[in-house]
Amino acid sequence: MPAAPDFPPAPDRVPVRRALISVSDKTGLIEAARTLAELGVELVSTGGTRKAIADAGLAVKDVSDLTGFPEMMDGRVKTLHPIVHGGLLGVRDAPEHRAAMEAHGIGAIDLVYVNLYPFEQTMASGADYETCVENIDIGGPAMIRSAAKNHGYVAVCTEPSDMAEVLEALKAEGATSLSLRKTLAARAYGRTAAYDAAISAWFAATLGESAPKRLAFAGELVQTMRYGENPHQAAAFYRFPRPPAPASPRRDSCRARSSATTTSTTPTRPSS
Amino acid sequence: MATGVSLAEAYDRALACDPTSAFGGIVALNTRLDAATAAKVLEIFTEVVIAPDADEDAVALFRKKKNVRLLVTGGLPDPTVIGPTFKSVAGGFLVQTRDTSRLTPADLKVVTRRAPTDHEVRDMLFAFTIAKHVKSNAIVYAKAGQTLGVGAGQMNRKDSARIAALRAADFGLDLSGSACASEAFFPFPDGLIQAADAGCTAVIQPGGSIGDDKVIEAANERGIAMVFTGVRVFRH
Repeated sequence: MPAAPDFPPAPDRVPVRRALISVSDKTGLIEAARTLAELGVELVSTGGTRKAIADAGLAVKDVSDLTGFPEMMDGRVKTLHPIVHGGLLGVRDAPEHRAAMEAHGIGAIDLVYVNLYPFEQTMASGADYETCVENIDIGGPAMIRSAAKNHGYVAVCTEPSDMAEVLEALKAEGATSLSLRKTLAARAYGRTAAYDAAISAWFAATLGESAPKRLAFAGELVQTMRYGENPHQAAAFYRFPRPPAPASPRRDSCRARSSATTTSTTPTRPSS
Repeated sequence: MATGVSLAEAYDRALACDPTSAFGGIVALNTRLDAATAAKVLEIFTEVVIAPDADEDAVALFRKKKNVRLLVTGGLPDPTVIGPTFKSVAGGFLVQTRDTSRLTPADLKVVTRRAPTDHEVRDMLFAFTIAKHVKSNAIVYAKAGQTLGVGAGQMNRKDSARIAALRAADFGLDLSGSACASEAFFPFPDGLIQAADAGCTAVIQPGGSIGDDKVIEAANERGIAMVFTGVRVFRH
């Protein structure tokens, strides 16, 4: 277990100078981007998200402008770059980190708003195997996890309601608080855990495994309860994610193909 | 469930509570299984015995029997460890913190004119601990560290009290001077009256019903010592 380096304590209030936005669900995106722009936040984005923000007449940089690397491999590789992850993970107040950021031209990213390729919905819709695989988001969870780890400096949002909370804080305080960033980080890891749980469940179902070595599933909080069986027991009600079991003929097509011919598959390009 | 000066005696006393249901049952021990107890257990058809540990000669006895499984856990789980428990519901699940509640004599509030004797206090706590692990509605009669009657899973408490007494009578167990535990409050005096009529002299229950006064009055009329725990231990 690596010991924690002797970092200076994280600041409570962190202003947001630069935000990275890459969303599949664009609900409220333009409003959020506009508010950030009005607050003087520099916007960086990817693919479809960048286009949507630009089309709304807002200044936005493409992540490729930062990294100097083009988006490649059908979008599989676009944010997986030290410029992005260094900007997320760098401990601003640690002299060595600061020096590395300066030496390599890594600019800090203070806010990340990423919601993931809709793997769960794609899988539930009975999409074919290749489409399901192509909708496994890699760059998104990586950015979420980097940002969440560095919650001392970075605020991470994975759904519109998170973003709304951050915007409220920025409008009221001009900064995010450490407690808000911690809350967001905890939610973010819950989100990526649920996402991976959905992927592993889909894989297990595809392979016909009824007892996978690790059975992961994520409940979604519906509501907390007044109490459990007894008043001294805290309780909450969780909803299951949609079952991954292939039931309809369409879902059966989600099974692995043995040949390499992937003729009719046109992966719906994730929109970010 | 029962205690004893030896494990074999505890087993005998537990078995006496309901020898009918013990057929094809599971025996759980909280101490090392010895040969004397193993021999007793093997006298009737038993599916599983679970114990923290077992003596070699006890294990040898089990080896001779084909259809009995002996599970050795290597220890006892700590009942005070917090953690989640789950209940399935359609489309999801309920998560709750484990019921780690434990009672000591100091937690008990005497609500009747007569205070319980030390023996009654011990029996009440023993009965209440068992009631905690019985499906609701639960009524448990116990005396001197022996369970005498269990009424489980009924729609109302009065029926549980009646069934618990009925079981005790079926197996020739005398409820006079026993303690009665109810895992939730008696809403009406009827359940308590049932227990008193069966011979119990001490009642332990959470209290907190709007009918408490009437239940206390019924207890006083019958010379029952009753304590409130303030803690309910439903298990559904």
